[in-house]
Amino acid sequence: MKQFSILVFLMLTCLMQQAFAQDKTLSGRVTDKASGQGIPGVTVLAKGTRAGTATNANGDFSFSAPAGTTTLSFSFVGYKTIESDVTATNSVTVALDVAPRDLDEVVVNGLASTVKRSNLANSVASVSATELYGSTRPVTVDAALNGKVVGANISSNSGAPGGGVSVQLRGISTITGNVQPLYIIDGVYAVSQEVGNGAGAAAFSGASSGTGRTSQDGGTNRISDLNPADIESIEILKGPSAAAIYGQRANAGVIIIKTKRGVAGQTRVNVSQDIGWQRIQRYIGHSDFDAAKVTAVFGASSLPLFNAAGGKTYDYEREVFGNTGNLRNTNLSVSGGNDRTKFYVSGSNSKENGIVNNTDYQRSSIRANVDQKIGSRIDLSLNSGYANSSNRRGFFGNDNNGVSVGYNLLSIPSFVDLHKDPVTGIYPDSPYTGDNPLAIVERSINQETTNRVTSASTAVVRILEKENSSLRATGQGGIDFANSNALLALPADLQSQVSSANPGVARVSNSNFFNYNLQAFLIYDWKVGPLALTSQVGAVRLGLNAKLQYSQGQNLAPGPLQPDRGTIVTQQTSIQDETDVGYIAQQEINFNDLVVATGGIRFDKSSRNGDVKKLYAFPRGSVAINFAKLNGFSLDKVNLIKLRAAYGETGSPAYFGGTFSPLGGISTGGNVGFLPSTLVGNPAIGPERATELEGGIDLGFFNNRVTLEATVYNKKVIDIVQVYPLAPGTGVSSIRAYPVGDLRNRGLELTLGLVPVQLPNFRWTSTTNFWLNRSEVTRLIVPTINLSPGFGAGYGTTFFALGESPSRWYGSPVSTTTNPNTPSGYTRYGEAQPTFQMSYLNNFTIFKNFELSFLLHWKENSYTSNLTVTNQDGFGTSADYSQPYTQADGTVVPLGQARQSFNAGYYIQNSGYVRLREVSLYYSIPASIRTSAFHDYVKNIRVGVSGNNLLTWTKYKGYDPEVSNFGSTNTQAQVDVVSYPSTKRVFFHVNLDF
Amino acid sequence: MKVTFNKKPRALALAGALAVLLATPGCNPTNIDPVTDPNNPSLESVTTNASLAQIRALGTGVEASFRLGHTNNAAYNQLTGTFGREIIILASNEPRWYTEILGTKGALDNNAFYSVGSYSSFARIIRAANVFRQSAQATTAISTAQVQGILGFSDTYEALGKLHLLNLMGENGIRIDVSDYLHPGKLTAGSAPALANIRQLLDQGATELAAAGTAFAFPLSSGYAGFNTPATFLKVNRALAARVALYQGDNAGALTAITASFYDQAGSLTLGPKLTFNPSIANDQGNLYYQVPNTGPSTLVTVPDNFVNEAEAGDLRLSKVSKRTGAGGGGPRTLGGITGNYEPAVYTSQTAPLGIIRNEELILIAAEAKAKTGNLTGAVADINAIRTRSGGLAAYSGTVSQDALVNEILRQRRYSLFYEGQFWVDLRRLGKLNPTPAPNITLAYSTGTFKLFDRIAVPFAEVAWDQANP
Repeated sequence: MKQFSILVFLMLTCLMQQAFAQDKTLSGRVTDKASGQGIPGVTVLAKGTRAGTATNANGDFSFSAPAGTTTLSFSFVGYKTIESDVTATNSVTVALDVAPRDLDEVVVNGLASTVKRSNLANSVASVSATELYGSTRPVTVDAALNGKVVGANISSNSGAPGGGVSVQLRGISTITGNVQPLYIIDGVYAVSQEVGNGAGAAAFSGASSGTGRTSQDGGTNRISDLNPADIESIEILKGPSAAAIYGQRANAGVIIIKTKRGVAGQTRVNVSQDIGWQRIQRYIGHSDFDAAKVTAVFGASSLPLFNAAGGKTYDYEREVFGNTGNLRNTNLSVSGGNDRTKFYVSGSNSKENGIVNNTDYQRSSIRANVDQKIGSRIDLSLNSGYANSSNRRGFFGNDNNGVSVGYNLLSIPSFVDLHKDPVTGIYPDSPYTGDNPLAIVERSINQETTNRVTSASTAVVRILEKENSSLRATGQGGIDFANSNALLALPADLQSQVSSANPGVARVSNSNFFNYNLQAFLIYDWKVGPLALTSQVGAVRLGLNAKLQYSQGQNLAPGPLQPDRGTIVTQQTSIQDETDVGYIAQQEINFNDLVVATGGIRFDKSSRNGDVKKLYAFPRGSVAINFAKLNGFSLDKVNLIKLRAAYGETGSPAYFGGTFSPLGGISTGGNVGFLPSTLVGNPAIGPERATELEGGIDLGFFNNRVTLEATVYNKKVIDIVQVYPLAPGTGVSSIRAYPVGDLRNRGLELTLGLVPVQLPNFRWTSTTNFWLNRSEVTRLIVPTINLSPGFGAGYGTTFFALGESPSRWYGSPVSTTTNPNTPSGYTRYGEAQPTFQMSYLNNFTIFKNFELSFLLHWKENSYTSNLTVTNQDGFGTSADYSQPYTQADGTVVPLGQARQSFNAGYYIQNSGYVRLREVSLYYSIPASIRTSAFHDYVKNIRVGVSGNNLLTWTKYKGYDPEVSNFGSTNTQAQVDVVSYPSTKRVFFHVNLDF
Repeated sequence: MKVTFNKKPRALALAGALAVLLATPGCNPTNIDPVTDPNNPSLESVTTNASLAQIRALGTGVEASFRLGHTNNAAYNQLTGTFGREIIILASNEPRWYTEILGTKGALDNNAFYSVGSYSSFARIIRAANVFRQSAQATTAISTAQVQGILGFSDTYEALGKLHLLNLMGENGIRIDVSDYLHPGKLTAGSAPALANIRQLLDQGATELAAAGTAFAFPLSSGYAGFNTPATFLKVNRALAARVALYQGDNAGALTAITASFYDQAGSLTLGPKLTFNPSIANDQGNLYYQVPNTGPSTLVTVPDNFVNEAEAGDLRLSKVSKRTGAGGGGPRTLGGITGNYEPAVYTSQTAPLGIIRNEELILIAAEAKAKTGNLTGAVADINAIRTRSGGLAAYSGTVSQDALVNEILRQRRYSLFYEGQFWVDLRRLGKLNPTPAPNITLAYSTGTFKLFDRIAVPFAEVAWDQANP
């Protein structure tokens, strides 16, 4: 046996040398047709062989190919693939044309397979690195997707450094399950939870009366840990018809992120540096006081305070929010390799200072992606990333303790002096609110540090390789471990603490998340006559574990802010443990690229289901017909006519704990006790199921200079799992998880790609997206459910009611005419989901070296419950407070006073907008100047300037129409309680390739 | 037999070993183990064969559950205190306390924090009592007498929970048949059937307590010192029965119950079972009604001036409020046109206990029942016990008629039971919930843009349930 192996090895070596001896060396250059600049990283393949390479930083290539090579193919993401004849030559120069919609790029079609976009039967949105991050620098990866994905409703929850973004794909998918899409980073099922740290808990801002983590903590989601510069591309499986292969984790859609990989060839070093700043987008404003207004609003007892000010006023909004925050990103990457080993290594550091003092965000990350071929049959790849991020976010949003900065700042009358005594350094009490916001900004602590490791290994073994059939096995394992550590503290001598029974609070909270995934697949490609078939079977196992803990001390002794030093110490531990297992089989049939059909099924079981052994089936099927591939098709202006239809199902098990009826801990007088929870479990619960039928047409004209992708879908969530509200007078408020009914989402998605001008010195590419979604509850077997997104009917609330959208606002007054069918009888108001969204992305390349791009994003008629002016009116500080308002009885009162009795209709405001989301101008320094300055040491120099959210047109009366006091919510019916104001950002960029 | 593997069987053996390995639980990557709740014990663990330790824990749970109505964000004494204009909450970040709840928006919101906070919390007592009752009857860990003790205790607490729900709901009625949460009964037509049910529960509890032996199977906290055996707890049960009888208008029944209670005209006015608070102990809490004096918290509880102005000169009970002084946030606060000059000082620390029912109220119940049954002399004696011992005032010198005495008793209740969740209920049951209920009693902020409410709105979830289950 041994001898035999050695023999084979020797023979192989021999053969290989033989092969080398017969090679010919091919070389050349690949350029961009418009700019004439070399394109680095283009894949060059000798057609019909396995030989190939990639171009270097200048676009040059050189490699050995078998002597019989006749054709080279050149392909690169974003460009049309072309072929060049090398029968008679060993050197070629080719110019690649930009593909407006890249039809040859491959997109995910199975857990272990891909398909060419031109053969795809689904509308799968792809965002390339250039689209994502090539223009400007949004706060996080998910923020960078905003306006670029047709069918996605993305909104930022807060302008705080480090962000906080929620993503909703094709309407409302679930109410209690994973509201956010599943994120897969290089095959790792990523931790994407938004986890609070307790900033909204009773002891801090008191936004919630809860003591633990709350939905009002202003959390970030963990996607913010990913360095956008490492991303090669993002694919978005928006609905079940595309995402069915991900089974019961995919009800809210799947976002697949691929990080950059090395390409064979010369080692490339890239250094980029961004420097910029951010400033508030706009101010709310305030109004000043005179003696009469002071008396009217605060009573005569406040006159001495007003008079003592002697007419001096302060603009606290500008004082606190008027700062300029510096922004900085540094990226360094090294990539390269040979035909057997490829690597991509990067390091980055980002720092963002907020517009409020003592708020910031920083992230450092490193990544190493290595691909290795072992022999001719085994490919290994390892992707791993580590990120350390930390933020200081301050206290914002809703509040009941006077701690939250935004909400209280706007309430403070301009004649009150809150500045600290220059000698003692002591801040005065705020006479009208629970604390002094200036003191909170300087002295409160809300900081969090996250360490995160993401790693995945993939092995592909080609078991069989024949001309008409090949069999390969793939195995993949991934882990994602994230630990966040937060410290929150309010010193004991703050006003809000002095007035507390237990002054001074410090909390250390610790969140551990560990996800792992294992998968194994067998993929068999075979041909039968004109049919190309791909068969695959596989299995997947996922585990998610979370441990959330905190320790809090109140009534703190003077000294360091540490929980142990209080007399009242509370703590909490919460553990989650989930396991899913799935089995997948899929068959793809391709008839000459003319008809491509795919069918598949996935069986899933989960520990979150009542029956952990029961397998639930999620089928899929799709077909695409490319009429342009018909024999004899000869409309020469038409490149693509594709009709496609796809159906698929996904699921979502009830949330963790849905089967439990717990006895909570309670004590009195030192005795330990049990108290039945107001929630009871449902041991029979199974997953909710989303089914989606999608149909569309893809057209390409004039060499694909005009492309149109049109898709309609009908996504139905069947047996949607929701809490089943019972009569609360029984002491049981609800069954935790119950299949309450069905919800339908219907929508339309259009993408028009244009290359209106293509001249040597001027190229203009343009993408216009248009999308809309309508949701409706089509079946309901339990009482109408109040989804309680905010602060009651006076400010707007939403219902899960038959025949209605769950994101439709209702509110006071009671009206029997507009809403006779729901128990509340409240007036029906606007819909939180926009009527439609549109985005308009344009790129201009001018004189080969200048690139200008901008992205306009239009969100039409989306309604938000806005409490921004509520407090201002109560405190007489709203800018328009004194405007006369004629009441129904004819009396004229100040508007700000009248408004306090207004119905919800005033607070439910249109938060539609048109926003210049991104704009940038880059200049590539011409080679002549570059080489005269740096010789050949620097291969490419690119400088630029860009802006993010520079202009917004909206009628909304708050800091930002994109806002959420409650973070990522199930319906995206958002509530604004003066979050951290959002900012506009400006950057200068320098990018060097070595 | 000796077996020599050649190559093929070796591969088979390997495959076999792999199969065995895969089939072994824990090693098989396709196996999922059921996950039990890692954070809490399950309800099912106590409903049959509960251990003695579990029975004890359930008992403590029932006792502690009464606290929840007083520690939520619309705590019972604050909500009823605001409805009865005993207090006004000038919350700088929750204007609904001094707008909606005072009637400035016309109607109450049936799903706002104030409509669900206390309501849902008191309902939990009923649920806890039900589970306790059920567990006690399905275990062999305790004696028959001890089972009776648990039944009597549970019935009494269920009555206490229902009484608080009914106080909030008034003529909306409450659901009295709630043991099967999937098939609850309808809301009662008005308060009378609910009061009858509560009274019946208390009477049934009394019978059970009488058969409960000498000791409970579960501990009661120090708040029940003196009332922690079946015999002494029975006095608490009767005290509550006296309160309910008075609400029912069954004055004779009230007097019968009073005699079996811990009523003592000369005894300590604070005598009675208490809810204790201790924020330093895990799963216990501090007394939310305690407010640090003369500070500027965001949620500031104030007392309208008329509480002080309408008191008799020298009434010692005015120590239950204090005038706000101090610079910055410590002084008076004006919001929404309401100035708060006084603040409550009833609860002097966060560990100050809250009386569940106390002797001072029993004396006032006795006085009222006597007045209404024609025993005016007896009523005056009880009134004077309150006036002199609680208020430091001279004996009653006004008209001695039933109406005059009822008004006098109402006035004494206002000061004796201030901020204890009683005044609004008293005004309502006496038909005096209006801006000027009685001589020397007015209700602040009850006219003009303000409006008095005699009940909370039926919570949204109750409305929705009935609509879906007609």
